[in-house]
Amino acid sequence: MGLDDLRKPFLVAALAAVALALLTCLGSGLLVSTPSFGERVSGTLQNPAVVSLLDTFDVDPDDARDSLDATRPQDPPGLGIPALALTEGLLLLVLVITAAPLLFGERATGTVTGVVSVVGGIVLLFASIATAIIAFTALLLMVGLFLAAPFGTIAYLALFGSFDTGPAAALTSLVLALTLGCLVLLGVAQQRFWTMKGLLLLLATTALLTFVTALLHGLVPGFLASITDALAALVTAVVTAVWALLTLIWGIVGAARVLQVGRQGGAGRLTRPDVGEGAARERPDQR
Amino acid sequence: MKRVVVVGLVALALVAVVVVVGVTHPGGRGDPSRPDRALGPLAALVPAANVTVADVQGRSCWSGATLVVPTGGRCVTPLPDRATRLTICVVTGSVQVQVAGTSYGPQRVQPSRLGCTAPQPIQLYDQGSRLVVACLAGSCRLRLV
Repeated sequence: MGLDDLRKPFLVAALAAVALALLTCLGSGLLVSTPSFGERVSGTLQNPAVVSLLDTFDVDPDDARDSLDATRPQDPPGLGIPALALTEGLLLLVLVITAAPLLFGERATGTVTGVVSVVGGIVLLFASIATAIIAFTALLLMVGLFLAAPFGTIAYLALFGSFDTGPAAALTSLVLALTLGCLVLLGVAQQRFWTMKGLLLLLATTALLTFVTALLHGLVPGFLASITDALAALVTAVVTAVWALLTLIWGIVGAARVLQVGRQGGAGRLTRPDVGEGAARERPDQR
Repeated sequence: MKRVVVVGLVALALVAVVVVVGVTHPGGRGDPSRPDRALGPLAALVPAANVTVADVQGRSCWSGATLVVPTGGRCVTPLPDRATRLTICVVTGSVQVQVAGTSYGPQRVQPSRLGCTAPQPIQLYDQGSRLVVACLAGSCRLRLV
């Protein structure tokens, strides 16, 4: 086997790594636990900084407790890691579109990949926009609440101030390791994958967004992590929306070419531009 | 294959950075007693809007910028959701002032923060907020600042 031959098991492993990263992001809510609201209220009122805050604003601690007791319980939204599922999903879509002709043959997949690209691009674009709106709304709500000293601040601390950064760091590390593992596995499968600039750029974007999410969780005091988590989700959603739009455009161009070839008689091999690459000539099996 | 090894090592280094940051910065540190300083530039995200005379015009107990509550009485004023700050001061009388909304508990404002020489704004952060003023003694008169 030559150096440039395709090693299919590694290509399948690269796909599996991204699929696992996607599932990890989607299932992150099940792995992170939050203390009960009652425990969080007690913890907040015993926090020396909160005692100092109440003293500064001349607030009776009993009034503060009454206010928290009447607050509708909510948990920290935890949007940052689930939002990474958008970019991991997009990466998986692009990888499947790129790998399908290599695994199953161009003739079997040529007409399908354009449609998959268009449908996937539309779904991810709308999901990204919806996530961005949800993250921005949550960000404004939490920042507004935190700044509304003293009652809003203590409500924020009781509701959202207990973001569990430990499991979040473990999950982002795992997702980052899987994403970067995919990059290495693609190189082992065939080094020419590393000449696909679009695919590499999308992989780098995914890794960077995961890295930024981890840093936003870790670099601020724990009570602010819910706010920076929503900020991370917003950034991820906006960046993924741009990528999804590009994927959609490439998908439409690819589908149009397929239709054009079909009208001209459909003779010979179908060609389409690679998603994230822009030219079929750069696909590894065609060199 | 050399490139694969180099990329693998860089990838490992990145993951190590994330793990180290996660381990060395556990949650719960920092000082939340100065929210404006803690948030830095993110604080500028929230628009600030005061409750104005126009917002309370025509509401019961209000006459222009003045709120008059009879002794032993109580006045409830719905506040607009877009407003983020309310500044009122007690001109005469002994009052109990509270702001309550739908999602969060009520905030009871100490009379010491409602003096007309240096009134402190009440922060509004809830949907459907209402200002509830009860007059405990004397002729209660408050002014919207």
